[in-house]
Amino acid sequence: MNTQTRLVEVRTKILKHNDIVARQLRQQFAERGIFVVSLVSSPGTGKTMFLEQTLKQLQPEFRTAALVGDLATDNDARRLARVGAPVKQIVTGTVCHLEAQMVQDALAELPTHDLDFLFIENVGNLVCPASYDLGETLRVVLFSVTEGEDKPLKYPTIFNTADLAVITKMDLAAAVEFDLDAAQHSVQVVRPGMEILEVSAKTGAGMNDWIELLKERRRHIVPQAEILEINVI
Amino acid sequence: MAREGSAAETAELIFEEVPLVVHCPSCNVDSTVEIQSFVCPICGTPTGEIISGRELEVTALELES
Repeated sequence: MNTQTRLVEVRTKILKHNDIVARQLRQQFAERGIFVVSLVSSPGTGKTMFLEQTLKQLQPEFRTAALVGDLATDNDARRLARVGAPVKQIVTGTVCHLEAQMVQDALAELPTHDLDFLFIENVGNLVCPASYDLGETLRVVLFSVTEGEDKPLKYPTIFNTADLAVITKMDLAAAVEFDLDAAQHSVQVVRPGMEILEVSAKTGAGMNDWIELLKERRRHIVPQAEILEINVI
Repeated sequence: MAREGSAAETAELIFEEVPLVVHCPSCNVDSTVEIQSFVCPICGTPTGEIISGRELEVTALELES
């Protein structure tokens, strides 16, 4: 029996749908002047605590909101809601990361019209979130002093796709003999030139630098948004 | 596993790895690097400018009849 072989070219990006939705989100955020920050880290790095303190410090001056992804519980959303900012939980079930579509769906239930900052806390995972663009303006990767200085070397892809690294739990640095130089070097090896901040959300150390960075980065996008609004009126 | 009992029972899934290539701003050359070392192999300049290696695509189907 003769077999015939036929080659069908497909050339389709597997994450094409995600990329399309992410692009739409990014455009919407830019038009509305919303500065969007996504937070990625391992489970237990202290994303929620960090976000709680961030929202608290921004609240008096800015309109903020947060989306938080978790496999099962809404504990994080309840914790964050105490700060007073609108918070929406995205329960992902068995999915280990957030996707642009989940963000888009969740936004429909969150008042975003007048927002200055939107935070998206990803599911605790340093692998899969790297591949999914969420339309964010700034992707922040966090790792704590208890996780080891070589974390960036073990998970290079997520560090490579991030815009900023934050080292958390600095109040424990001495106790665990954390080597800051080695950690900074690890980051620079996988992502040359990336800015690194060291914070302790618990004591507040380093949080001012982070808040100032957010305000400064936002200033770069907002003038455009205000011009757009004037044109619309 | 997924192909068992289906028309594609004997199908093969072939992965083609795309090497990680970065651009060096100093010597203006693209080189293949390891993911744990974003450094130009020629001049040693650190660079994160990825040219290729992030692709995740279905490129083609080869059908036999």
